[in-house]
Amino acid sequence: MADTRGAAHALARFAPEPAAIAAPGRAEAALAPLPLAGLRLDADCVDRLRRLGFATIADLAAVPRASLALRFGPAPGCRLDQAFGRLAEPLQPYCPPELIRVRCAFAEPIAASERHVEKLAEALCPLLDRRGLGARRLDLLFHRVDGMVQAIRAGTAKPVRDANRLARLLVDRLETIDPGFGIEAMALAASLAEPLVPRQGDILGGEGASDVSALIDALVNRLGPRRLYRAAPVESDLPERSVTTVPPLDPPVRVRWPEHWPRPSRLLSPPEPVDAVALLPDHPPAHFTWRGVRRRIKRADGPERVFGEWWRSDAEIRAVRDYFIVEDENGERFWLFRSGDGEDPASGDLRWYVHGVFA
Amino acid sequence: MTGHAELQVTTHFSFLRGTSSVEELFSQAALFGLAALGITDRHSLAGIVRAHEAAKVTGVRLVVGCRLDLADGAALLLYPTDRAAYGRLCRLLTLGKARAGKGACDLEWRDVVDHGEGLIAVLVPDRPDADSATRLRRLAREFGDRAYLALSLRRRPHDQLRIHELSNMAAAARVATVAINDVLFHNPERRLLQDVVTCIREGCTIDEAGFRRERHADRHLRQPEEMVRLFARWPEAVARSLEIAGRCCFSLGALACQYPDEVGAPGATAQQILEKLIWEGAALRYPEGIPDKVVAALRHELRLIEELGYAPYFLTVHAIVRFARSRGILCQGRGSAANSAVCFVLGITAIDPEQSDLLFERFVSRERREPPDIDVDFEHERREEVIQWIYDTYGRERAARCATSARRSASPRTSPGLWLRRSGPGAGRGSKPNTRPSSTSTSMTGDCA
Repeated sequence: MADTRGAAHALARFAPEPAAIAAPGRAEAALAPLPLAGLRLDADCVDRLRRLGFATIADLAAVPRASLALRFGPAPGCRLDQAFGRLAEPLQPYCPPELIRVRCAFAEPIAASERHVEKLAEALCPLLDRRGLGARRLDLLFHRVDGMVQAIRAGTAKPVRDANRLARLLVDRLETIDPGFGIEAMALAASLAEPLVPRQGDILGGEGASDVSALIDALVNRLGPRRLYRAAPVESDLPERSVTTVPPLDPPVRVRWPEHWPRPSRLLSPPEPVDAVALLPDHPPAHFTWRGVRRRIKRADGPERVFGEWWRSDAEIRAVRDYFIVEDENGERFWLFRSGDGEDPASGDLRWYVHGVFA
Repeated sequence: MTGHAELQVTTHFSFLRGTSSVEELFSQAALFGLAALGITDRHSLAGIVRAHEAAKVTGVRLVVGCRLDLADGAALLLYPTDRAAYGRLCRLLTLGKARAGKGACDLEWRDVVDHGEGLIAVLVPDRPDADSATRLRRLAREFGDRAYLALSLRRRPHDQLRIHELSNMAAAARVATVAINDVLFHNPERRLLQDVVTCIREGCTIDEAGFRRERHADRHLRQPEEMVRLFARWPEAVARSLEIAGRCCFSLGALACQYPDEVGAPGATAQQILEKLIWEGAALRYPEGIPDKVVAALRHELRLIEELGYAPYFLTVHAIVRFARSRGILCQGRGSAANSAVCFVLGITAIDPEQSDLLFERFVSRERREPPDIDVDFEHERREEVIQWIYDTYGRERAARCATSARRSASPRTSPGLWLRRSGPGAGRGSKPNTRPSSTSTSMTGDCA
């Protein structure tokens, strides 16, 4: 990995480490000991250079450019500059041939405009339709007059073939595009497409379950991919591991938490230590102090014993927590636990924590 | 009354459920000063022989028991109070296993009630809901004062409340409660192994196991003082474990071999028939008169056989051999039976007592008090005819094939995999895969129930 394409090419193929990374601006030093073959020169050229005694990239970089260009043409100097980042090298996006893609070129350079995005989306949808596909991911590329390419990527939660919806997802992000001196071409591709079978509508014309995927797509594309999620239960006894996040439109998780087990509506992460006074080993605390407030406990239920998940780490092999639901004089309920079972010192240090608050 | 008897202990004879051996459990119980251990494997009494031995060594009493999961989801612990009840429990298990096929047990309330005389039944409830209440009332109706309700801590939310409601439920149904601990392992460290075993049972990895693991993992043996502390609100339930242990008087020591009567012997005892057959057979073997040495040997052997009551067994083997000879199936007794003049004159073995000095005491002796066994090899190609005749004559419920499973060392030459393959498809039908495939052994095993 490096900050130029040429350097990355050489490092990936000839660096001794399996995963070589050159820090930004350090490509020159990193490439110095590598053989000439890493420079993307044609084999004939490399051969002739080697015959003249050039073995590594450092050898080549050390000689004056003028004589080099006289004998071998511009290629070696150009490749060196590209690898060291002295010469700009625009990346040409790689397009697989079967990609569903539409493109429009403009006679005059223009600024990014919504109208053209909509037009492209309208042109893309018939192509998708013909193959029975719906777009899951769109790439909109803007080719600028100065040769730079800018891109918008938009994803959908379910395959979509509706031109308006696709256009709206892209238009939402249009403001991130810097047109520079103008855009001479735009290309829209469905880089990820999945089969979309037309569904039979309700015979009475009524809407079935309302489809929230359009809203989810709009939110995800605006907020970022991992910002929108659904919470799902996990089969774990440890409260902090008993919840995971899943993408918003994933099918419902089959796992259920046990019924009849009250759990706090708010879990503190991490659990906060409290000062508590309790009778060992089976009793809840008589009172505890949390965030400077001392609370006397009126009622309590417990202990619920939770063992560490021993296969995750050595520290959890013997760890035990005893959870208590407690209610203070004001009727507020808390979920406290004591680290340790109160008998075996290896199971925990007997400190008390508050792990959750009941609504 | 102080002390405690742990009445629900699952050993590793509940395959892939328990993790501790009987010996480990009993020595831990002795260390903790428990009065008795109730071994309750799931649908099985397989662990009680080892438990009987371990109880003798450690001095902790064994309460023989069994856990049944009925078809409607109820879990019951059954403890025979006497020898007859033990027989009924065995029959009940045989019934359930025959009905369900390999590895399973299919029993309903009715079956338990039919075989329930003399059995103490403890209902293991989950939650104090309507189902549990119905089961408890039924249990109380059918078992009267032999019905109990188990109280066990699960370390879950509302645990104390749950036990409180269960004990109220028991009071309403007029059933006594007993504190049990539902032990799966002798020592808290075994919890890890328990999880591994659960994963093997469920066929998953530990990361996927989730709630299939034992969620109430606090399942080790506890000291009596700890039980008293944990069940501080229900001291009578803790004390009642001793009461139940006291009521279960059955011990494996009460079992003895009961050989069934041989068929086709009306009006005469087995000994009389055997004597008649022997003198007839002897006359055939020695047409020129029975030598004195042989007469003396036969008299000596007959006296011992009569004294130990083994006559019916000799008749059974004789009947099988006679059948084989009548069909021209080659057969030959071997092993210690060849030391017997009786076996020679009955045509079972071929060592002539006149020509060699036989040591009958190697075969049957008063000191050993071990039932004899006579190995007879049959011609392997026609062995099946003999087996089918045995089934037809004695009935399929009364005949069984025995397989010996040999324990091999894990050396590369005889790896278990190799051994399994060798004894796999062809030999797996129940013959003795580790010995000559042509031999059929008849052992003097009785009907236990």
